[in-house]
Amino acid sequence: MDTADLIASFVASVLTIMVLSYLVGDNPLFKLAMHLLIGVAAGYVGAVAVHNVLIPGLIEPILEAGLGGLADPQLIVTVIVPLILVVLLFLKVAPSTARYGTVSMVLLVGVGAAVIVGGAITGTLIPLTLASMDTLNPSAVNQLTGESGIERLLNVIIVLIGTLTTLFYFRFTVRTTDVEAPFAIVAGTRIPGPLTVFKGIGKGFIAITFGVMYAGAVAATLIVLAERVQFIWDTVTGVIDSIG
Amino acid sequence: MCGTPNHGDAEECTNCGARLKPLDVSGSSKESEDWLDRMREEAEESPSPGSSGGSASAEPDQASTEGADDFSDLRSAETGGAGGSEAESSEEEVPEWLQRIREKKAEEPSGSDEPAPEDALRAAARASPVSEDPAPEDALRAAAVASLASDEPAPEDALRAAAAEVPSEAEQPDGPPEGVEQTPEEKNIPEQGSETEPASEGESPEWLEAMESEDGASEADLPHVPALVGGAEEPADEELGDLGLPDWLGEIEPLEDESASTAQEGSSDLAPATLPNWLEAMRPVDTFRSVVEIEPEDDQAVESVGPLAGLSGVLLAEPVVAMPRTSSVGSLQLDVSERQYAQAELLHRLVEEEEQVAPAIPKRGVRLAVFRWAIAAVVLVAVSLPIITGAPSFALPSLEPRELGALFSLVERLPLEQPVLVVFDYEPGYAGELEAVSGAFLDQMMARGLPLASMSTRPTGSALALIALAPFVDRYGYENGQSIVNLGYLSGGQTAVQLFAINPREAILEGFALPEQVQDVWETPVLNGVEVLSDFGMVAVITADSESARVWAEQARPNMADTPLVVVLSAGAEPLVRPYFEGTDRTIGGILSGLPAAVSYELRNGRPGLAQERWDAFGSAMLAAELVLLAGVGYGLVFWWRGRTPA
Repeated sequence: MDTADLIASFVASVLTIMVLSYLVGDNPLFKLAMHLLIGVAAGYVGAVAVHNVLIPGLIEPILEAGLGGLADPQLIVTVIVPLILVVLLFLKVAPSTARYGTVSMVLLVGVGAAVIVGGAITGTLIPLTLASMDTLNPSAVNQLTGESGIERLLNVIIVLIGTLTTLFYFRFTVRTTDVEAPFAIVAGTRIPGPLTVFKGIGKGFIAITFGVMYAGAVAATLIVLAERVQFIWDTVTGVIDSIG
Repeated sequence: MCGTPNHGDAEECTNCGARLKPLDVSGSSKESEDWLDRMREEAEESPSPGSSGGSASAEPDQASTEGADDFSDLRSAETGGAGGSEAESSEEEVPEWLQRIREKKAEEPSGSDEPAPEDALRAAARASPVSEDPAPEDALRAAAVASLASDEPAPEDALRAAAAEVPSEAEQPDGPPEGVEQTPEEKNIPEQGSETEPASEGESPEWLEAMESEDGASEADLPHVPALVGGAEEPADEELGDLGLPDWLGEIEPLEDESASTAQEGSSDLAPATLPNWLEAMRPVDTFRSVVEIEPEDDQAVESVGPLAGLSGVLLAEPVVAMPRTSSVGSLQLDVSERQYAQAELLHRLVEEEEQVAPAIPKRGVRLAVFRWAIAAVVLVAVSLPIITGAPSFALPSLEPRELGALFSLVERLPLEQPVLVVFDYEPGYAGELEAVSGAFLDQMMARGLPLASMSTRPTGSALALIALAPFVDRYGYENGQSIVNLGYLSGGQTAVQLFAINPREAILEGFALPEQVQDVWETPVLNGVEVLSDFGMVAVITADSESARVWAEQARPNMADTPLVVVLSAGAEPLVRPYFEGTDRTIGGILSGLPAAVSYELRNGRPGLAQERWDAFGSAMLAAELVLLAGVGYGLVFWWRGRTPA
């Protein structure tokens, strides 16, 4: 480990300890580490945006085309119009000129919403619905596991019960005897006993799901902690070795 | 009060509801009651109009005769009221002309049962002697109205006929009957009747012509009729004559005056301008008395608004209109059903609960801090011991996840001529985990010599890619720009992912950390043949966020054709991404998550990596975490058991 790497590792180790100092509560060391992290991250993101997005996407095409090339329709569509939108969006910085950036915001929000909704329908809603329906087919064979027979049947039953009870848990409405509003939400109405069992089973499936997610988060955190401890130990031993 | 004839025993008028009999008969009115009773008795004893003959459509002569007869009876009755002895003597000495009429009347058959107009006249005569308020002509007008309503001959006709039937002074051989006091006005009746000609049809009466002729007269010349107010001065006869009353009414004026004077004689004890008690009781005061007390004329206000502006003595409409009264509109009452009432009660209860002050939670800061420090110390010690001392040591997993074999096989089958796109979509905070988890995966690909291209949708992802690939680049001799390139940062979020899936060359224009000799990243040997996303041999997304994996599955997968999509996940994001992998039509072709799977991957590769290096620390930390969880569960159970057990 050379000196530069040793110094960098030492600083990184100190910053790691400063962040871990939050264990004893909010303190100046933790705040200093946070400020450094945020400042460095923001500066790095700005530098990346300028060097990887703005310069190659807006500046260089204009410089390459020159004044004569500005009349090129393709350049106007791909460069000039985006440049105008960028300038308008930049006007959001000042409150007095913020309204001019609304055009760019409208374009961003509208296009973004359309992309997200379309992708969610075609990429998540329909495929997962069909997958759930196929899962309930006992004759189908799982491509991944190759399971069939009793094993497949048991899995199908578990999936069926889990799906139905989980959906039932999130259905807070109860059919009432009121003809005018049969599906009205009746506050304080107790769900009959059998339905309460279904709701409890659904809650159990949800609890298992959240438990798995929590266990995964804990495992990930422990891996990160182990990596940080290993890094600090390596730095300490490196410093000791360099001193010795 | 309305003039409708009623039965003698009736307590109230059948038409207007006015009381006909006094409620309180004082001793002072005893005398007036006596003469009234006598009149009633005489009226009952006398033949009824129906029985006496003379139908409603009788001949004028008959009617006039009949009317004259009744009228004479009336006069005699009234006179008798004034002096009983004189009346009796007059009945004994019936004049010849009256005897003829009675005989003629007795010969006539009985007609209709409808009340004759003389009844109305009799009622008017009854009221006139004692009531000074209404003028005599008013009573006669009421009688005329009653007669018109009953299709009876007009009273004036009857009176005129009676006047014509009654012989004049010159024709009467015996003169007026004895005992009957004949007033000067009474003497003029036949003369006036002879002088006044009945108005023919289509010819206006004289009084109307007189009124029309006086239209142009000055306002001062107009007759002044004061309001019907008790105590007001009764207009003089001259003034009444100036009113332009019809001639036929003028003919009967003496009769009324006579009856009035006779009544005054009989009730001389009555104070002027006051009503007897029995009549006062008969008046429907509440019906006719105005809610506004009429002030004396001097105090009356002058009307200031409306068409009567400038006139005094008029009834002021504004106070009447503005007086508060009970609203005619019914009060609004809520029609609340039981269900609505129950909901309202529930809402009320909720609001009441919100208003209640929650009890203060006792501070447990010190206790929590102790627990936090204790748990942190345990975990730190558990993580540090394997790293520092090398103990405890945990055995490597012998079982591998079911999906690991499929992923390993997938990477093994990738063609060497097609580059693999690796997306580093995680933040620096997750680098410690994801570098260890994805190490074996990257090791396998780079060990096979697959050309690699990296990119990120996060600004810091490109730098993290360099760090993650650095060990394998050096190990397997990858050359930047030749066998591995970094496309850099893809700005634009989900929209940019879709754009990149459609046209990668338009989405990313310049690479990251490329050698200086590389002018265009897309012209490098790695990406030279890539035009669309499906030209990549595989797309691998390394992320700690399930949202990022879902975006690539939704936006990029439809444009990838047969190119498999593989995700390397943090352990916390796996449950939400796994459904994309376990479906029959899998959107994600391979998944790798968690340190145990990474260790198994390294075991498959046969080359230890970061996963095995951190396995002991990870195992020790997981053991400590499980012990802490168990301790917490035991702590909760103990307190739960102590809470159930009675003290």
